[in-house]
Amino acid sequence: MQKHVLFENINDPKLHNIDRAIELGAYKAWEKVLKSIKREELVQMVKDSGLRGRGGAGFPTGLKWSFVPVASPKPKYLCCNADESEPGTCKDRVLMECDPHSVIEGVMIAAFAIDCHTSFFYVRGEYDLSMRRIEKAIDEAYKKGYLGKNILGTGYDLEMILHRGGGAYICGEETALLSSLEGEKGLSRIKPPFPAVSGLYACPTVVNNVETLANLPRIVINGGQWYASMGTEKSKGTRIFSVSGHVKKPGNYELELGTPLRTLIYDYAGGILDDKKLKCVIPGGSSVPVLMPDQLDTPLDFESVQAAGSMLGSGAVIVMNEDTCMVWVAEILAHFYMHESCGKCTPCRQGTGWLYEIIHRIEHGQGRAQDLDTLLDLAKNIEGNTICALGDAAATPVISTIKQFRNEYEYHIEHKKCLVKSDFRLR
Amino acid sequence: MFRVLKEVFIAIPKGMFVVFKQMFHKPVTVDYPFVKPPMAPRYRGLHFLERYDDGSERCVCCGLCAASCPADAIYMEPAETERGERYAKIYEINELRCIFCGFCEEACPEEAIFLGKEYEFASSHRDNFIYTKDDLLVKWPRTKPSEVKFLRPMRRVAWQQSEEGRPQH
Amino acid sequence: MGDFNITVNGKTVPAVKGQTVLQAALAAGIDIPVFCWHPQLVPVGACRICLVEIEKFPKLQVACATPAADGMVVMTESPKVVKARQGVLEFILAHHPLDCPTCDKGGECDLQDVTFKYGLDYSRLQEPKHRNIVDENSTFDDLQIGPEIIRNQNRCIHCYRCTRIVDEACFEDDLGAYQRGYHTEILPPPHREIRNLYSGNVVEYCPVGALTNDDWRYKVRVWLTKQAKSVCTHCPDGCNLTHWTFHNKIFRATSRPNENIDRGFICDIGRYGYQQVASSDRLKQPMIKKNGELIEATWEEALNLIKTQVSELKSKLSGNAFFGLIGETSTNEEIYSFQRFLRRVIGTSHIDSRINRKRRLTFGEEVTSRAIAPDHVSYQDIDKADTFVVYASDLHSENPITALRIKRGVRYRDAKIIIINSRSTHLGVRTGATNLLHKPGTGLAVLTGIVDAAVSSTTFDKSAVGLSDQQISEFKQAHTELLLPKAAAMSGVGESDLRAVADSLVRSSNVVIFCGADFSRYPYRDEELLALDNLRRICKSAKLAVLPESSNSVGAELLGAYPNQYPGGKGSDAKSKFEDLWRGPLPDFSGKDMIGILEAINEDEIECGFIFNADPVRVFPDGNYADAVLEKLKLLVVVDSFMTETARLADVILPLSTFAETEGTRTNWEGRIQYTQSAIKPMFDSKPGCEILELLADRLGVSFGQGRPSEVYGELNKSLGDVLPVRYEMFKSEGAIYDRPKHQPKPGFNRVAYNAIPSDREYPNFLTVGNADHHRGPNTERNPSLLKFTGDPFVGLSEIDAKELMISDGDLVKVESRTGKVVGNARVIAELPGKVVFLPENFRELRPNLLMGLKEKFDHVKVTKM
Repeated sequence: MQKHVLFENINDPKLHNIDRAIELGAYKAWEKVLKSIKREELVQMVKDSGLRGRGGAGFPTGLKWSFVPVASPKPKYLCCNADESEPGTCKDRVLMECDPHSVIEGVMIAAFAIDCHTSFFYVRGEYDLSMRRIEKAIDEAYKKGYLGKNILGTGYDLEMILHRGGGAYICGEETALLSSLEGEKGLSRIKPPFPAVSGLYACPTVVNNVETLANLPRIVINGGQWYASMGTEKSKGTRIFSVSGHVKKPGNYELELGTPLRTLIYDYAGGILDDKKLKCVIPGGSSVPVLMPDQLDTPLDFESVQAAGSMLGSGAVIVMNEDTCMVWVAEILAHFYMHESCGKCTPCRQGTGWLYEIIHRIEHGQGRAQDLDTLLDLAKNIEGNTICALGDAAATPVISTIKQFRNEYEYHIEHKKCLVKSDFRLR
Repeated sequence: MFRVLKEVFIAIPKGMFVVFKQMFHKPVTVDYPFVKPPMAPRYRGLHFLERYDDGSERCVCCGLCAASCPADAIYMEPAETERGERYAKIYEINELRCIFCGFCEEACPEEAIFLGKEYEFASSHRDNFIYTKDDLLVKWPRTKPSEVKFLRPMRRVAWQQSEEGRPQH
Repeated sequence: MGDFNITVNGKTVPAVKGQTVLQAALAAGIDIPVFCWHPQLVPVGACRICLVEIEKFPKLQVACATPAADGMVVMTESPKVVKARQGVLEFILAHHPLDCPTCDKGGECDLQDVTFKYGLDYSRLQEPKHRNIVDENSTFDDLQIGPEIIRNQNRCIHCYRCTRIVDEACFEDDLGAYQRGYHTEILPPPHREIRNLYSGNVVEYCPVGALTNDDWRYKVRVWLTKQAKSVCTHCPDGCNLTHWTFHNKIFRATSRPNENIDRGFICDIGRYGYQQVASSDRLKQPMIKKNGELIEATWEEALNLIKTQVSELKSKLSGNAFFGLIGETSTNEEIYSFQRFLRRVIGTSHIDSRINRKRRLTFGEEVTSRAIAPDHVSYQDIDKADTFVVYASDLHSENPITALRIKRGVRYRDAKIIIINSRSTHLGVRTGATNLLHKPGTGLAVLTGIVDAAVSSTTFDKSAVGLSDQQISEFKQAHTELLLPKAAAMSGVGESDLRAVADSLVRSSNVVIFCGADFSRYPYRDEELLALDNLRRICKSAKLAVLPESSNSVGAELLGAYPNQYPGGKGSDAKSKFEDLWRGPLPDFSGKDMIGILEAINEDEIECGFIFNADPVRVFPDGNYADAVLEKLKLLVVVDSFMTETARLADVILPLSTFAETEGTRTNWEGRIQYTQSAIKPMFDSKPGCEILELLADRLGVSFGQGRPSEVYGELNKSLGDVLPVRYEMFKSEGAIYDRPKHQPKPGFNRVAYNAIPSDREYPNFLTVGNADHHRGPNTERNPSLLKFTGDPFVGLSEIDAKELMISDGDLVKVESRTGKVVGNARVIAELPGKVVFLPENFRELRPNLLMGLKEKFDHVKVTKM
């Protein structure tokens, strides 16, 4: 069901001004946390709420916070990952542009939970408006005394520093984000050591997604049990789905986790554009396998989608109708991953380029018989052998589209043209 | 007694007849040096260093022929041309040490060295058998077409996007 | 045995806490291929070739970065691992160019070796290979990114070893990876080249031929060469090298990792410094001076001439009319042989090796009475220290590998560096060092000021360092002119800076103090030693190391190349022992030191001499005086490898084989004696030093029968008390540290007497000398590769002086002093303070020693534009 937790006031045009936001309840949770909640209680509350990371991996937030060695003499850092670059995803942008204060308040609460006094906000370089809104929101928060030294007289200090990225998908990966924040090239680092133990400047660091953090104020006000009452048994709460592709009403929809995919596409997003037939859906951003039309009743929560063979990921639902050439789709995605590979580890650096070049050849009529087997073998060689998940993400669309639509590839190779007459409007 | 008769009148003439028959067989001897015997197509004779279609030397002085030579007959010193390319400043084969096994030809990655059909290179002084690069390079411009069918006729390979340009596996 | 065991391929392998799976496996002899891993760098797991399967881990793990845990079961040859390795290799080879025939790395290429062992022999690539085009009209995509380094980006496998070596290990910023993905390019920053002092290491550790050296380019194939195990002779660090030779020519030098010293990184001077062996001004034949001109002669002629002349002069004058000077880069055997020759055969005790100092060569009363002496410091002590004080030394250019070891402490243990110098030095760049820049000649004020700040601080725990109130008050009374406020004013260093440094020294648990060339050569050496000892006393645990100048200065001291010392540091009571050992009478124990020798020659007391591998005319701090004095000699025999300034004055020249042509041992600054093989046979008609000395001794009637270094070594070892390995073959990689006697200094602070440098109105500038970039000492300009970095001599001026005198880069200037003048091109150096002029002492055309005067404590000069 459409439950508006994050989108409660999202349509209010003045919500990004702090006065209006405070009228609508912003920073009450922060005051409550500062004045009356202890750190351990807060972490337990978030654990009880069942909140899971909304960036793509779905790791339980409370559990991630509990990995931080709070007793360590090193300073702890919190970083908000606003480097939303997963193809299809545009949910964080809406939150940052329209409701920046709830995001910032979430950062504050999370910082308190791990005893952090310097927090960072890493915004994707291309999100100009988001960055300006967040910058203004942080300034306003400082002016009102919600940030800075001795906040609201409680003795707690918190600085928030906004950092604008240079425009790289890889900087959404937490270790690459930390490298970029430190001023180096945005290259991933090997894990272990995990950022919770040794991250930014070798100090304990937690990186959370914008949407995850934006949920925190409401969890604090309403309690962990309230949040856990929504959603399914293992995937609690709501999340924002960014629906794009061949639908009548593309956009961001906040739904309870567990809503069937069919409901999202046909009831909320209006159904397939021009009432054509559905070909396939990518349920969680380009890095996850596709779902076929016979899997439309899959509930949208972490476990069910995984059982169906895909992943919930970042919640970006890309809908493709029968007029979509899957080889063309694979080519676009392969080009994206080739372009965004950081270049540190060999399989991703060389493999993404090679995958793209083969698919490009196939799409443009120069495919050969052994290409499909080569593609699958190369993708298998990349998967699992890389430093970060970009390698896996690059291999997944290739493997998934070949598995489900092998006939299209074979048609391309044999007849040197698309099997499906594609809809050129959206190219 | 009969054995002696058998020997004298039967066995010996039989043997002589075999020899007599040979008179009518075509001789295998060749009237060398006026007629040269036909050589096998893969006969290994004197070496020669090949060139590309534009006349530049193929040999890049990689050292593989010297390394593979079982007789240690090849000596070379590399150097750099003005264009930054590698070539052999000194390249010598001691044909007396050479056993004409052809390993150098097999080892060469640039299709530079081959063993030809020349076997008439006798000399009366040992020193004359040190063949330098000038002795070994084929003449340019060519006086007769190359014996070799090259896989790579030009040093630079321009990639073409069509099927023909790419090697078929 | 380790702390626990892991299982690799079914075999039980011991592992130590903190080791990774790769380290444990390599120690046990199990081969796991690596590209990006390097023992001295933090593992990054970038190449993914070392993937192994570990039980209970769902994905394959990189062995180089996975810590070994008790009971781990590792498989390095399981099917999953084999497939992954082949996959990674296929990815690397996909766009690796088919350059093996023309690539210099062929034969020693890691990629070739790993592919041969673990890779497939076919390729599935159908696409054109990616190409980083340098020149459209050539298939050779080589780009010169530094004076000696060429990069071919196509071959790069992006292991990032080069950028990590430059950035992480050496703290330089010359090389970086630009762009992203497979377009990543290894380049120096825009408009710059890679030219730091350690740049050659990136070539050595590049696993493929992406980065190559100019001096090895297209010269020879590595499988044709022989290797010689050498030790570098350019500075007293004593790094181990391998010289690669073919047909009696040296083609290159690479590092020979020695865990105790260099750990695999060497500086460019050792790397390219072999080229001087084949220099065009090598002495090829003995030479004899006839009618004022040096004419080539045979060995017989030269030796006979020496024999007749020496015998004649000895009988007419006496042994004491002879002297001997030996250079401090000679081997221990040569030094021992030389001093034995002079003492036993010639009969003189006037022998010295310290030819470039101008102050008293023995320590004064104050130092000896209080038994102050430097400590015995080794590289292991550097590894334990958390604070370093570098005093009066441009450590980066004088002892590059010691500097690198210190930087390692900064990188991995958060160590601190405190630099006290009158000019900015490179060690302070990017290492977060505290620079105490003081006015020239006021170093003593800084040191005493720090001690005062420490003892005056309210948090100073005097009992922890064994000081009493009375000792502190005595200190304050003795140094009223050098206490904190006056010291700060005199030296120009802020009081708060001195206090901060004092505070950090007092809180450090392990301090190592280094002092270098500027310390040893200048007149206040005694006072500085006392002041540094004071500094040592305020720290909980501190060691003081005085870094010597040359690669075997310590050996020269050890083996009696000093006038009042027998080998082993023995005094006059050992005279009879050496008379027994050398089977003959010895002259009086006491002799004159270098300065005394020159004075005696001037007064015609000494009239003949031998100079072995030394060039006093070039380096003695009063060049004109040395020249004039040595001209007076009746007989001067010079044994040297090159035609030096001193050789020109000789009556007989004997050509000496260089460091690469003789075997022998040398002693580095730790006191570690290391053995060097000879790389090539003696070139031209030169002979190794020991052989020359044996021939001379033999001609003059005393035959030791020890013409080869190994034979001399036996007796050398005996004279030192048989503490060294018996034969050369028994030398291990750690060499042999010679235990020098330890001193027990007297308690309490020392008195430091200090007079400020008088200013000179006529000559207002101060002269400092040192090494130009990529040079060290007088011989490095004979190496063409090093000249590519700094080829031209220059006169270094500070920005203030240049502006005042209206001189800009390149202008011809004249530098004069009371004793002489030189002319050179100016160069504005930002790190110089006002009034200081810097001259490099590495060039024949610009000799700073012509400006120095023996009578002057400090060298005052004036600069004028020509």
